Amino acid sequence: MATLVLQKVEKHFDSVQIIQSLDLSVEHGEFIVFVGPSGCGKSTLLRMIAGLEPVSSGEIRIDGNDVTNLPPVDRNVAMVFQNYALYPHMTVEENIGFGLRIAGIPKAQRREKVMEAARILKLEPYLTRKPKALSGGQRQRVAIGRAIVKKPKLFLFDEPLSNLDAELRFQTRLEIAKLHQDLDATMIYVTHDQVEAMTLADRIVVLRSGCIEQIGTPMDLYADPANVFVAGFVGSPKMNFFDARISAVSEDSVSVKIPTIGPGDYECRTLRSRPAVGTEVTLGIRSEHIGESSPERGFPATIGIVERLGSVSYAYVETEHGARLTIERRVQRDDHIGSVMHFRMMPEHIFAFAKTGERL
Amino acid sequence: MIRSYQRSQLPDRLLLGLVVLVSLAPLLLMLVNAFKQHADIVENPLSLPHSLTMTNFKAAWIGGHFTVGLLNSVLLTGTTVLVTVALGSLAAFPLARHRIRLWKLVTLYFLCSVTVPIQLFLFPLYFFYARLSLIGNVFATALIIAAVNLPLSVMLLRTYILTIPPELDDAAFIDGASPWQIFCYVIFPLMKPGCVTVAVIVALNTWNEFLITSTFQQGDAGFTMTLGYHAMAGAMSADLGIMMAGACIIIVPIIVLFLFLQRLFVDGMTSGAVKG
Repeated sequence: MATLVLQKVEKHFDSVQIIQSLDLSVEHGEFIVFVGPSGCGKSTLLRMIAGLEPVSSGEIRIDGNDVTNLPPVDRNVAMVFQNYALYPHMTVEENIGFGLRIAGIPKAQRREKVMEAARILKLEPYLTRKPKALSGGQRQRVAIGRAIVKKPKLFLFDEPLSNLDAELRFQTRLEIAKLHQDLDATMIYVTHDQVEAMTLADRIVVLRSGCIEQIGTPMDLYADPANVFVAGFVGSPKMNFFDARISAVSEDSVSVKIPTIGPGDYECRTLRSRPAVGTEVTLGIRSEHIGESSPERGFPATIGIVERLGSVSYAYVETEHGARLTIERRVQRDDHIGSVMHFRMMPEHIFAFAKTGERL
Repeated sequence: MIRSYQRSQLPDRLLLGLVVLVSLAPLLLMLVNAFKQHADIVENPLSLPHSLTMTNFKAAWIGGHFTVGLLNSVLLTGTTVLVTVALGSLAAFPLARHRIRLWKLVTLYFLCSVTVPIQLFLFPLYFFYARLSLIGNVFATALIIAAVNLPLSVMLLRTYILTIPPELDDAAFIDGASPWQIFCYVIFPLMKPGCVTVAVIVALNTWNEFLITSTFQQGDAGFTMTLGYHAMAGAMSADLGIMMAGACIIIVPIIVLFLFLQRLFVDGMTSGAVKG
């Protein structure tokens, strides 16, 4: 277990700024997930924490000690790579024990530690095999074994599940969650898969273009996004967005006009500020917060495609004024493609964002 | 379906068979004639020998001083291969793993080293070696041949290292390995097929080398097999049977070496290292 503090950490390659003055504090035993689109700098940031990438400026502290210029071994971190990075000419046992061998640990002691890691990860039957004789999931477990055998202060995972199929990904995700519980270790995990982020993280760090957009628990980010980017990035299916204009402002809510939905006014109760009447805004609402309604209270929309996933369905609908919406359908219905239905948006779940992206 | 596929392969196989025959015919002719007397060869070079007598081989072995020649050739080739592979792989590792700003200049330098003829350096090198009393020293001569072979070897090995995933270096670095340990424990074992390729090329070059060895390996005691054969050619060129036997003796070790190393041309050493 360890704490991690990043202070004004920056990274640039020549003139290209990859990470922009970033501050982050991670507590003992926390599971932090970095998410963001491709090229947002999440892997670079992880490599900087690992010591694989030098920091252009700023400071990295592990357990209060400045490790900014220390090599990985002196930071006492372990990393699991996206493509396993197993040594192909070594057996599973040699792979797991490589770090201990480099550290000069005697063979008998090394074997004992390797066996312990193999037992935790159920790798005992494969110790004499080489990586090419293992399945994808087993290879990833060996990579995790190589990390845990060193008993590091900090575990770093760089998209460890992205090369596995859906079933294995689910299983390995559970294994990592259990490992975190059992080892009580501080873990930093990079992914672009928000299901992994939502299920594993104590806190999620959403990154975009080398900046932190928001830090919070998975439910914080889902229920209370700081800006339009986080609102759109977190949650599946993606949040529905429309252009709107403030038509009236009262004490506890504002009314908005949404031309693409219909001529009426819509109430929005989640605003943190009170923008002036006439302000152009972007509204966002999640698919589960739009429900079926009577023709008098709702707006009409034509059913396009329906994705039936078993317990839940997603209907992709289009209003007559051109808005396209994704609507969650919990109750199993026979939604017919092309049929017109009426829907209503729950006012307490409509988010409003300024045109610059910040939450209003 | 399978039959029609096999039938469609027939012209390819015939063509390949013809190429093999054309390639092996001179070797076969050499082997056949090595067992024949000079008169029989002159009469009909394509005829089969009357008996498989080793007389020509014995005469060639003695006439070409092949006992000394074999020892010198093995030492020279072995040393050259060792030096080239060791220095080449050590140079290729950083060249493959670091971003080098003046990479085009480095490439140009290597290309120049490959294209500039060795004759330009022979006189100053000879002068230098003579002053150091290294003429006839097989290990010193091996250094010159290694230097000649190094640029191409470095380029070949660098290309090979580029196929090894850099994440393996990162993983070893995280495991606490120093660059030297990363090279010894991770990169070099994975370079084996690349090293074997370079070793075979360099071994062939060195075994057949004439210009440098004839300049620096002077005196009977310094003769390699190629030089011994050349000396023998002067004295025994009248006996084609002995000459053919001598040629057979020279090429046998290199064929054995090639057949032995061919088994090590195993690709896919990195399979299983990363997603696959």
